[in-house]
Amino acid sequence: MSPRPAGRRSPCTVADARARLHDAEAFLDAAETAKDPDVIATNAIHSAIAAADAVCCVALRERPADGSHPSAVQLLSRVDKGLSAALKRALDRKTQAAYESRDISAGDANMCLRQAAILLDAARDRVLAI
Amino acid sequence: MDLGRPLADIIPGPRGQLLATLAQLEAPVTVRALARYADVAPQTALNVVNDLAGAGIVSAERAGSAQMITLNRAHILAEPLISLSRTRARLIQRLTGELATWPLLAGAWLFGSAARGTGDRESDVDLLLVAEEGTQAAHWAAGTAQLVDRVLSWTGNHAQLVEHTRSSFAQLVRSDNPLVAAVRAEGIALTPHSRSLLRRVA
Repeated sequence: MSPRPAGRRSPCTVADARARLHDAEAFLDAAETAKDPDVIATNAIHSAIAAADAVCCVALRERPADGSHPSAVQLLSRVDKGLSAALKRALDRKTQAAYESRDISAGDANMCLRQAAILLDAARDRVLAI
Repeated sequence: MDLGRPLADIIPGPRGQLLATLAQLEAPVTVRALARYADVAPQTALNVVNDLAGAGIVSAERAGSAQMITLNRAHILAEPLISLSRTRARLIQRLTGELATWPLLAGAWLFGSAARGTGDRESDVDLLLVAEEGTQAAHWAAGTAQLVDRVLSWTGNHAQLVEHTRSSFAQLVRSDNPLVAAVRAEGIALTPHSRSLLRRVA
């Protein structure tokens, strides 16, 4: 059995999973309608985080509660290593997209969109089944 | 069909609830946690889990003083069980497939209790359909009649259709109609352009 991941976690329900899936879809909508790469990437990353929460809520009935990116990635890896890699790739761009004066590239913004779409598909697959 | 707990129609009672929950979970849990997630009494859960473990359907391992259990996904019964537990996804897939053949559909959503996963055997399957043009044409009426028949045949539940044209739907959106609020909050888009339609007409 894999060891329990570090970081604070909170219990969550199927209803929480539905709410986070809804958030993930809304953020991805916002990302897809934005023009600026920083705005695209920031919304896509928020979508990825919300979708990861939705997956964890269904599969583990818990989600990260401390805002720590490494522990969120580690928790999601208990469900699926490919999904946790997608989340990590998106989160790796968060600081530059959201906080730095140096703009993120269009290529990196598109990469964030792709990771968000992967996570959103996985969240839909689990949440819509229940 | 029980739209909230489809597996209950095949495996009623706590056993079905526990199996449905085991099929959703992707990491080992304690029996007490499983009982809580499945809304089953702990002692009942323990009895069912022991029985399932006897059949090899549940795997159990020790972690300190706790016994952690999980669905044995290698078991020959696991695949059909997981398939049964995904009934709602299959309904959404069938609706999506059916509506993909409609040429003049601007948008479609599943909403209400079937979308929330809280329905039962008596619940309708609520569908909002937005036509590109009118809803009076013969082909539209034939399509909706066939859809109602198919939903009844697939589920045993009646389809309740709410039909709008693109322009009457835009008015609903602009007037903050409760139906639009429900679709925004819980609706499941059934065509690729439904979400963008909601955005565009807002």
